[in-house]
Amino acid sequence: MRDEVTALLKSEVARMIELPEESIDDSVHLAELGMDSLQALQLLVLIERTYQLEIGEEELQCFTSINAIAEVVLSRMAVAS
Amino acid sequence: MSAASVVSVASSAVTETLGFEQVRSILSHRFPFLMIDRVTDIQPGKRLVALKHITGNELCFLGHFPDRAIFPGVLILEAMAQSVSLLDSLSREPGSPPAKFLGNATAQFVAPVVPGDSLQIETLLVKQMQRGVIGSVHVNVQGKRVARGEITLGTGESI
Repeated sequence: MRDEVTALLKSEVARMIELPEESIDDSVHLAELGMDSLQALQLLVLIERTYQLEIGEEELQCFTSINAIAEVVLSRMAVAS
Repeated sequence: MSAASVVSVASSAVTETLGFEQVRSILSHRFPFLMIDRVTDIQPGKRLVALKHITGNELCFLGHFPDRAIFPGVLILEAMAQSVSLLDSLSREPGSPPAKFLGNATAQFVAPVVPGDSLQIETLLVKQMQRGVIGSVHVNVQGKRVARGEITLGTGESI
């Protein structure tokens, strides 16, 4: 599941910040790549819709890297299941 | 919600509306860029229905187009964004900064809008957070869909 979540996140982040997926390191801080808070909000809603999850605003501060976001998503999935 | 007034009660639901002056007291936009004339339904945190009447005197018709007046899609999009901003403002705690800066928009325009049309703009709140809001918007004229989209607005605060 982690691989699927990571692949989705990388694909969406790459689309949002207009960089090739292969150039995005899963551990790099997304703000350094130019991702802003509104893009993070859009990504959060995409995750909620895709995985039928509810993610609170307080978790946006954890949206620092693809790995970090994947952790949030997987932990939310674990709680929901 | 202090700007809203209760004007009608249908079944058990209370319908609240905003007139033009109340809309103007919430949005910071002004002529020729204030695109909401009236709000006919407000459910804070959920839904808002707004009206925008199109007249032949709209400034944009000077150039769009000189030989056939068609209300520009970009201005419909602006009306949609202002509707999202209104719902955002009416759903926030008093004093918190409203979301009014366009961050992202996806939209489809499926029928022309011309003088005499009234846009009924229905906005559903998708997600609201401190720094921004996402709204899903459908625009109808006399019950027929003319546009739809999803709009992200920010408050202007940095990440």
